[in-house]
Amino acid sequence: MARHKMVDGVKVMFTEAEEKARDAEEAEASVRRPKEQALRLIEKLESSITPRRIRDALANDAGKKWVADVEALIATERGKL
Amino acid sequence: MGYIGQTPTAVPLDGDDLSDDIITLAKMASGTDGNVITFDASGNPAYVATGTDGQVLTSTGAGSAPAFEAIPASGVWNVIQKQTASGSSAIEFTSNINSTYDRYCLTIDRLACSGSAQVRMLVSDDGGSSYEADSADYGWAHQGFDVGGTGVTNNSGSALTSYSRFGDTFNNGSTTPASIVMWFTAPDEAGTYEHTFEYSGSYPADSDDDLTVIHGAILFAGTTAFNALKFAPDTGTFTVGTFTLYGIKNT
Repeated sequence: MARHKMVDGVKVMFTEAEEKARDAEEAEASVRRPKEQALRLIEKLESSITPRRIRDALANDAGKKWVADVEALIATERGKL
Repeated sequence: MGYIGQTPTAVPLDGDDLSDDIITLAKMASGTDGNVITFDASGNPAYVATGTDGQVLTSTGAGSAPAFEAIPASGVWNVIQKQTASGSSAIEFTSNINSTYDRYCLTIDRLACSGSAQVRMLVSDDGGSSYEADSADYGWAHQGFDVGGTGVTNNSGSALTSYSRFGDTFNNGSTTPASIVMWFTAPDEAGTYEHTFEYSGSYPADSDDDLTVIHGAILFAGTTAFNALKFAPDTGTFTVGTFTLYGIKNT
């Protein structure tokens, strides 16, 4: 479907050149976006390993497994970069 | 009227010869549409010439007929342009961004995108014929707090790059709309200082009922004047949303 933009309240259809440029932007985003999503999730996972979680990991196997599971998730996300 | 004998001597009419309330509109001479009857400096009836659309009738002082004049634009907000997105790939403002106003405010209300998207802003110095997009033209930083979502970067910034953006990725495939209020000033300033834009707002980060509240700033790292702004999602379209640009005069 042909794209359009609003310019000062007037609907203006994209030119052929604008359509091509937009196609390129969409293609670039499809590559960039998953990496950005992975980075955000890594940041979230990293910040979830709090001092409490580290103490639990030292104190018992359940705590150790929890940290190991998070590390595995982080490794999975790093693989997407 | 004919007379038999001598024509009677003409006697001027005076106020007693006319009863009150007998001069109808039809008895009055025709005039110009929109003119208003007043009295001139001699006390004689006169017309106030019709003004143009939007003007108001104002006093011009004692001893002078009133006149239709424009309302002075002082100390008020003026709507420069209001635009509604509907499956639009971009929204552009290309007029009245100059030295006319002391400050500008842009509101983005109830914005939804066709899918996950980063909402970007670009500036133009040629009225929107082209937009600045060199590798070091823009920077941004924002802080936020996310309610209910995952994977959201609440505090983030960027080295200079070819675009600017508001917050992080808007997940507007959801039913939660986004809203932004942005301020800027001195778009016509050139030569010494770069341009900054400050904003606050909220957007859905991950899904329905997930809300991120943010405040942040965008830097246009050029010292040239700009006179047009463009807003666009990095992918997809703005499904709905209203973009309103206000110009504000201090005095």
